[in-house]
Amino acid sequence: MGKLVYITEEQYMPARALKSKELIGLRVLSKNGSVVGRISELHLESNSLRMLGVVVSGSKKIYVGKNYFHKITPDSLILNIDPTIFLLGKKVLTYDGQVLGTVKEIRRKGHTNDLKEIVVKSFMKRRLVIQSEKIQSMNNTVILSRHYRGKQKYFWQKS
Amino acid sequence: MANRNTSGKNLEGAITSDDILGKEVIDIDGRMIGAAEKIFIDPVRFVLLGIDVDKGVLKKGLTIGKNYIKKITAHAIFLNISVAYEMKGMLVFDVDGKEIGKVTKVTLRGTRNIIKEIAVKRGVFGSLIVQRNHIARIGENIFLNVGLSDLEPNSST
Repeated sequence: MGKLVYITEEQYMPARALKSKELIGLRVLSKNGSVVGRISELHLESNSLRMLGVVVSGSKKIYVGKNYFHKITPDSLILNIDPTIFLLGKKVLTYDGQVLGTVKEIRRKGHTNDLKEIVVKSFMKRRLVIQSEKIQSMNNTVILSRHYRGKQKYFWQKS
Repeated sequence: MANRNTSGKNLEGAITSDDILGKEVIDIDGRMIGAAEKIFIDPVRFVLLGIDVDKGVLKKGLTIGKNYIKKITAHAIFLNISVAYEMKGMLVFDVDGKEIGKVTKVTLRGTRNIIKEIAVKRGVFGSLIVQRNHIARIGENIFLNVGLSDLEPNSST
């Protein structure tokens, strides 16, 4: 194949450009270093041709908007968020360390990464819906704030 | 049957060994470290010095000093630190997100929970020693604040 010929009105600086073949398959890391997956698709806006986001394939297939990009390097796309959808299955503890259950469902504000509420389930107990304001921290486990006063009931108890 | 109290003190707010032993130990990142299996008491001053944490079968235990214990509740013992030894096994990425390797050893400053350096296994490329000042942040894995090429070449073993 011969040398690449450029046809463009703009001053093109190839060193600064992101090339699709470099992006597809690029590893995606969350803010805390979790491996989210690899880029499988690029999404561009059809009129302006600006990049809108990417589809990341991993344990889940997720679309991440470019507002959540921290930086893209030849080695990785690093996000500026820890996707809240990965809270699924994590243990939920009260402020005192009591295990309430595990995260069964995540409800976000629209399609943003902002958490609205979580649904917590435990064996033989009713589901609990907990608002994001009642959550103190979300890392390896979800720990609720001291202001959370909900009581978990067994499924045969009246709500 | 109620105990008779000859201590001369109101013991209502006190906690006992039963309140500590067997409790889950949780670090500041919400990581469940293990269960408290032993408590250490100063034999002269009779104060709690620390606890031993059982991390499970085939895993080395951990001793935590009382200064790293934030609170003991009805259900768990909460620490005010992220236990440095939990870094073992984490992936290490450089500032550009390039995977460098996996942490195989954590060296602390004395017995305090302050990292001095970590050993990173690079597969067939051997190992690399990374100093604390090159670590940007520690989460699920570790990000450095330098590129792989900026790490001292004679750190490789």
